[in-house]
Amino acid sequence: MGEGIVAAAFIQAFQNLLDPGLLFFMFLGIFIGLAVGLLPAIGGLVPMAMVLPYMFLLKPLQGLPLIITISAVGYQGGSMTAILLNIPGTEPNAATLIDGFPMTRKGEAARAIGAALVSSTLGGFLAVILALVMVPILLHIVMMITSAEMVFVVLLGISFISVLAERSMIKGLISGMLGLLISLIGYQAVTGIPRFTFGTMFLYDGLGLVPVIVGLFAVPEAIVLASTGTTIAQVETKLAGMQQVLQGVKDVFRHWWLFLRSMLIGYVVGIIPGIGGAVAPFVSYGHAKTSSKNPEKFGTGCVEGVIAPESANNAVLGGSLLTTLAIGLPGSAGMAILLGAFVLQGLVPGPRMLTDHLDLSLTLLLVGALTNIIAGGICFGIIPHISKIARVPARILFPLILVIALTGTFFYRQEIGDVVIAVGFSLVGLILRNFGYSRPALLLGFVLGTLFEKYLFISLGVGGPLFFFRPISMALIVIIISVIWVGILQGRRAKKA
Amino acid sequence: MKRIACALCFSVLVTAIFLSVQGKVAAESVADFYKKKPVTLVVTYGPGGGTDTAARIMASEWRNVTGGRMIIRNITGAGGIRGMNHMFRAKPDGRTLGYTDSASSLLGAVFFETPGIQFDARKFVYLAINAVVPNGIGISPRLSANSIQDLQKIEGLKFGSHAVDSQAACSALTIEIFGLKNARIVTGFGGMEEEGLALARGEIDAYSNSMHSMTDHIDKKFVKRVVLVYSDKRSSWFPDTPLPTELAELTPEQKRMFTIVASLKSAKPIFAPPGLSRDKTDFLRDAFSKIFNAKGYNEKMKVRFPIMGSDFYLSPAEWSKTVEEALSIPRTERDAFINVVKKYAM
Repeated sequence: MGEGIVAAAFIQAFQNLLDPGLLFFMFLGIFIGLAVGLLPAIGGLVPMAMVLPYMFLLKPLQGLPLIITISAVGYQGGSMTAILLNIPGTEPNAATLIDGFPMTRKGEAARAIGAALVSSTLGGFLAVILALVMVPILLHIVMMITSAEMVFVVLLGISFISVLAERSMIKGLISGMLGLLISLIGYQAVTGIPRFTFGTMFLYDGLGLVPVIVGLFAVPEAIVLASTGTTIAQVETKLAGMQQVLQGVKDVFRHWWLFLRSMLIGYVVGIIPGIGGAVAPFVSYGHAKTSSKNPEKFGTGCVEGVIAPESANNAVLGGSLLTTLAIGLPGSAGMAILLGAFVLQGLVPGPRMLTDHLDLSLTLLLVGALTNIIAGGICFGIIPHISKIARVPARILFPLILVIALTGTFFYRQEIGDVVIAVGFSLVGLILRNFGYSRPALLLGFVLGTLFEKYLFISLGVGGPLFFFRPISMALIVIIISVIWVGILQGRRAKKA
Repeated sequence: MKRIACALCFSVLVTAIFLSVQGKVAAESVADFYKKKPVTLVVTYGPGGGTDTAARIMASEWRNVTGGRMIIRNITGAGGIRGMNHMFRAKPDGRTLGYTDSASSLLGAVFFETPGIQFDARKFVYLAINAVVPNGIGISPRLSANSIQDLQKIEGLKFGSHAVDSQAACSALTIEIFGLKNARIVTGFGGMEEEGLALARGEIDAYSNSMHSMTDHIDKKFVKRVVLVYSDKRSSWFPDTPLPTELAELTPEQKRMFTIVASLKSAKPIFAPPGLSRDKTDFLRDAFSKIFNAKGYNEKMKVRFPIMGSDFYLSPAEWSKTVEEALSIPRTERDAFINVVKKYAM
């Protein structure tokens, strides 16, 4: 493609950004995305599906920015509820609550949200810029990562189970294994056998991520809050709301190298179709902990534990958006909806998008970048106010959390069964919490178990038992062994201390 | 006598006028019903996919044809079976219609006995069928082969599939008919896009897919070419691609398997729960027929389904016959075929 054509497409894309119609729908998308992101557990998929019928009524430069914006800003709103209430707004915000909620308990809610927003905003922005640069080599990367590599990418994530263990490594591993076991629930397509479904259709697709997260984290914390009768924030801090927010912003720049690495992890995971956005934040979190000089602080309200997952979760979007546009491969459910929106607009994402509709593709990527900045700015204005929720007495907050969490769980798939699952997992969460078992490790095992099994089956079918004798797979095996080794060393060091 | 004949003629005339007026009133009342009451189209897959997109295109044309409103509701789960079960139990009041893909959730699911099925595919009232295309065999761009004869020279070919399903059946029959040495089917792929990508990466050498998906995959350079079409007639979209029956002399057993595979083609039926009244059935069939002929509908559908309007059109009656025939295949034959598919699938 000639440089002149690319330059002309860029100029056209920037001109498109000034179109009043596009700006209106971009701001509408920001509003919807943030509002729904703030409603815990509902996530970005529901509003994306809701605007799908309107695609016929809108022009491509109106409808597509609307749906991309909703998808892009959902994570930003979602981090707030993860930090404040221990309920992630969207699935990829789940890793944020590991350190975000303890920060709230320490009275540092505004600082955590400030760090989360800057990480998320800049992560999303840079990932989109990176996407523009990566277009020429994207296809090569996607072609290099086969099912064999996917097995080890997922295994790398699973190896972080040992890292996520808060106190006892054995307890962490037990929790992780329990998560893997739970992930086995459902219909196994390869063998054709339904597992642990007890004859109910509801369990054929396995347990939903949202009811499991709500049950494991939100409800047990609400119960503990009610039983103590205090507020979420248990420590009075000297810093006022805005000062804390600025401190959170500074934290991101202080840990810029961690931010950059986490963003890249999210971006790469986003590019590869099939892994999904929920994995990258956990991998980034595990990476942050293993590479930290003070790993023992993770899980107790450490700002690096917020920066890492939040830098990754929005960066996933930049990567997956590019794969969807340039190859026509949706890497997640959200991107599948986006793909549908393109078709309803009369466009087919794929290699031709970058030749026949280069200006539109660039416009959409720029919309993704700009949206992150605008939404981040809006959120900054409300942090000092919204973080006051941590000071609300338990008698008001407990029923509120319970209603919001369980209603959100219902709206996730409009299934009452999900609410039942959430209630059941509340009991599991309470037991794990009281006996010091790692809930994040269980969650990670649950998220990755299905993916691991799937890619293992395919890899064995394609390459036989020695499927891993490939350069990238071998390199990943070395990294996995290093992660486990570092985990063991950290465990020993913590024991000695 | 003359008087009796006159009286008889008069009464026949009066009856005819009365019946025609009644019919018109009834037709008008059904039309009014659909103008006033919104219809829910239950899609058995999630938003954004091919079936969902086609449903939304139909919904956008519904208002132009009936003056009413059509709402899309995605009831997903268990590969579409949950939505199908929901439709089987739904009230046959004409306000709840279903839309699915036959190869995976209807005939395919029933044929391969997907667990959890609580519906009888024969009892649904079929209103219209669109996006009907046969399945075919596509090969990887990394293969030097260009035809089924070239494939016969390669040992250990790997076909990709989601599970032991209608697509795997197509691959298994290809291996069986053409005696592809040590060929096998790798199952577990998450869907047609994953299979396409695996083909492009060279993880698998060939796959079976609907002609719609393969057209898209050829465009994306995931598929080098289609080497076989499973149908009883050639597709005008792939006129040079042969049928299995043109290349090989099928044994009686293989002929029966071919009939099964051909019936498990990709088709998207619109249907109502069992027991829908005749007047509403007629009205809905007519409405969907008008939608299918609408210019806007065809233009929009062609974006996602470029080989629409090809020579594989089926009327509701023909589709009902296909369902009836596919499901009346004796159990022994069905089991024998499933065992052949399982023999190659791993």
